[in-house]
Amino acid sequence: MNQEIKELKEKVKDLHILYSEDEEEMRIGTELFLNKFFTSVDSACDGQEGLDKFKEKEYQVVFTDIMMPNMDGLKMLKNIKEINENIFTVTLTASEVREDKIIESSNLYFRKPITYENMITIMREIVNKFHL
Amino acid sequence: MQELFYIKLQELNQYYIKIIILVSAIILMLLSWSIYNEYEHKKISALEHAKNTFEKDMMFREWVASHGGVYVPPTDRTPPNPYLSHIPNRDLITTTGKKLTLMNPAYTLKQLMTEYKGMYGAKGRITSLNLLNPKNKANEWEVKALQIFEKKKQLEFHEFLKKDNKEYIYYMHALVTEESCLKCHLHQGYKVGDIRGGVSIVIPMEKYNRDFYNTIKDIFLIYIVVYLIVVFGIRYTHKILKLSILEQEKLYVENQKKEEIMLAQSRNAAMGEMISMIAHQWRQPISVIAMWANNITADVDMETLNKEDCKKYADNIVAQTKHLSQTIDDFRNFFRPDKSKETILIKDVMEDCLSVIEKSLQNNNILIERNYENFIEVNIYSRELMQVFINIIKNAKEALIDNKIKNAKITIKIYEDDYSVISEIRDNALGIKPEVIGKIFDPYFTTKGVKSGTGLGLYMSKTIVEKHLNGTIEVKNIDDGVSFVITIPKK
Repeated sequence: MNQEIKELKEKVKDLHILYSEDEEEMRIGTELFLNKFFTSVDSACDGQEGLDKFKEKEYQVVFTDIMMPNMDGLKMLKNIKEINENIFTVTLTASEVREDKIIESSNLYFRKPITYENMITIMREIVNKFHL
Repeated sequence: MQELFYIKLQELNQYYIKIIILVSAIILMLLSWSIYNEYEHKKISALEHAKNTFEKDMMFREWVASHGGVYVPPTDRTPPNPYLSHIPNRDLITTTGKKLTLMNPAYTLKQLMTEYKGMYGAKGRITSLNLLNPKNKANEWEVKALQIFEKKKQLEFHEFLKKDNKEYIYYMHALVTEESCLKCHLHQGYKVGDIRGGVSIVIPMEKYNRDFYNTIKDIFLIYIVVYLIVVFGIRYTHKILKLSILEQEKLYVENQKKEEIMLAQSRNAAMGEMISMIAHQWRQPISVIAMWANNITADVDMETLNKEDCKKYADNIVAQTKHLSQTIDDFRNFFRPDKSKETILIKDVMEDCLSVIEKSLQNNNILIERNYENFIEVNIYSRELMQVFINIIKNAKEALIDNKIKNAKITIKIYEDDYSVISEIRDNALGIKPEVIGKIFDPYFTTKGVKSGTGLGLYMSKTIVEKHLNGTIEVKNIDDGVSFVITIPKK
């Protein structure tokens, strides 16, 4: 296990990550976690900020919440996919938005609370996606 | 039994008893009046009879007097009148040898009265205080009557008296001395116009009493029938009214039950709403806790764990549990059974309400603007008012989301006037359609579709405000939305 985690980290650490979450505590906790795997993690407080940041820099993976002020996660993902179709998107949500809508706009989705296993699954999927 | 209807029934029973007493009294009065009338009628009839008898006797006497007396054959029954011995032609012998003797008016009358009883046993007697014939001596009652005639100058006197357990009418009429009387009585010093005697008539009342009792029997019978009909009529009416009151009570109780069921339904709906709000509020802290735990696991796996980080993660987890605990307190407060009133500022009730609902408003980008000028506490069922606030704010939230309003805003104003505390909740969700706004307080009316609306929220809000809080609730469309105004009296 330990070995696999370390290998995963080695494989994904150079990817650029964008993370949108409006809840501060959640954002801090998750950002800290993501930082353990990725060297470059940028975070945003809402969909609009996320979209703005996405336009400025090249990212490979976007993590996002759905229910956020100003612009929600789904709309942000839609805009992002219009800019870069190849982006890998992960939705982490607490809301009860219909599943098909999420599946439509994101590669992976998990309902909060997110378990450690969920996070590892995400890492594995990223590895597969980018053939790392 | 409901107190209101118990009082109504008591009143009805009191009315019933009063009316029965009144009717009984009236009928009793009428009955007494009828009996009295019959009694008077009996006496008058008897008196009339006595008078008639007297008149008849007088007419007969008049007739005899008009002939100067009549001659009849002298017999044992009619011997020559010794009191007429001073009359020269008292005894006659006809040319054929037949003997005749003179009967003067008094003599004829005397014979008539002695020998013939009138109708119903009426018996007459002629008498005086100053007698010619001692047989005509006045009895005790006659003496009294004659004395009254002398003293009071009246011509008639009558009395109803009992003798040997039988009732009689005693009637006496004075006799005024006429020319014809002097034939016999001149020597006694009589003068024309003197009252020197009278005719007494005694009639047994038996027949009149019999008639009277028979009539009374009939009257009693009629009155009893009438009384029974009236009493049964009143009883029937009373029964109908009583049944109608009981029916009313039944309807009232049914209505109350219906209302209780609706209240329970709306409470359940509100509870469901609350549970989903709680679930939403819990998901975030739980997610955060999970993420801190994930951090620990990641550190362990990557062998980067250090004591300080570990402590930080644990602190963060504990902070989140406080949040969870707070949410549970809010939840429990909301569903605390609210049987007793409390004295509270309405703005505090609103704040309690917002503490559970504000989060979901913020998530939907709805701004809440508060404007409180509330200083007087009121004594109310605060949980129920909170339910009303939640209903209205929840409706506003849903309208703002459904209509995709930008700059969505709910404005809450709580202020006071002399008598009441007024809470106004406005949104900018474009308002309620005019054809619907009149129905929004109707039970089971919903615009939200079967799945999301019970149609009871505003109905129960109105019921709560009007029946439990003694206030009013009004709705009106404003420029860009809806305004609900809830007025709660200060006392």
